[in-house]
Amino acid sequence: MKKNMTRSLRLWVQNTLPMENLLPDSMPSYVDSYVYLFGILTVAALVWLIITGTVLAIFGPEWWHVSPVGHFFNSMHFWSVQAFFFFMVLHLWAQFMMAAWRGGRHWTWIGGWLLFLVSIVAGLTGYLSQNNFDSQWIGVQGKDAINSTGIGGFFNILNFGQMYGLHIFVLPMVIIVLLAIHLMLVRMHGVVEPLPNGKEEVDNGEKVAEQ
Amino acid sequence: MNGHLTPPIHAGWAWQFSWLNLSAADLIVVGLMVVVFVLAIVIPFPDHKGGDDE
Repeated sequence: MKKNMTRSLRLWVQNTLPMENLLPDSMPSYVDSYVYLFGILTVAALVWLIITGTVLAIFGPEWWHVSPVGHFFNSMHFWSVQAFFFFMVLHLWAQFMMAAWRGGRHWTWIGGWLLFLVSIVAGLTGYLSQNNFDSQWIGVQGKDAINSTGIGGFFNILNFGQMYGLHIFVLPMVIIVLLAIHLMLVRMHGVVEPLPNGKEEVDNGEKVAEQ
Repeated sequence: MNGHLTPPIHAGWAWQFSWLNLSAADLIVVGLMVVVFVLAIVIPFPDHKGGDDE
């Protein structure tokens, strides 16, 4: 058969990520725990961040600082980011304690860390994008810390346009792409099984529960 | 303010240990995270009723 890039890609997707794995209708019984909800709660907070952030970007700083509805969306964006980091750190604790990098899942673990680090930069550019005295204070206080890293003027936190552009476009895109890869890897490898407790062997997912 | 520049961010109660700054808000959030984490482990997940394989 002749080489064909489209066919090769289709076969690769079929073999590495079949639809039964991509959209499963059942999960191993050990997933029946609230500990496994922290990841999806982080994603839910990200969805709210994108929705409220889009509204804020449409109407602009004068709206979100003055109008009551603007204040509401500004607060929604703020509390969504609190929930985002709150659940992301809980997700990190849970995955660390169950050694979630086992069974060839190392790229899921490394990708999660990348997401965490990019999110911190997104949080910083968000604080700098508030367009108020807080953001000015953070910009003036933080510029020396950034300069001390050697980045210099490449990442100029006093440059509102650069910080705002990074915050509302570049960093969200990076987070969405990394998140898509992270979720795809979770679907490819399946949810990590619990660590053996010493008394009994790990349930390898033979017993399933309806999701 | 006698020429002193004061930060506009008021974090409330805070402690400083060398390089580490900790506010009461920081401690409350970390404490809340520990509580939620423990509860997520301890509280049993509701059983699914009426599943095909039960």
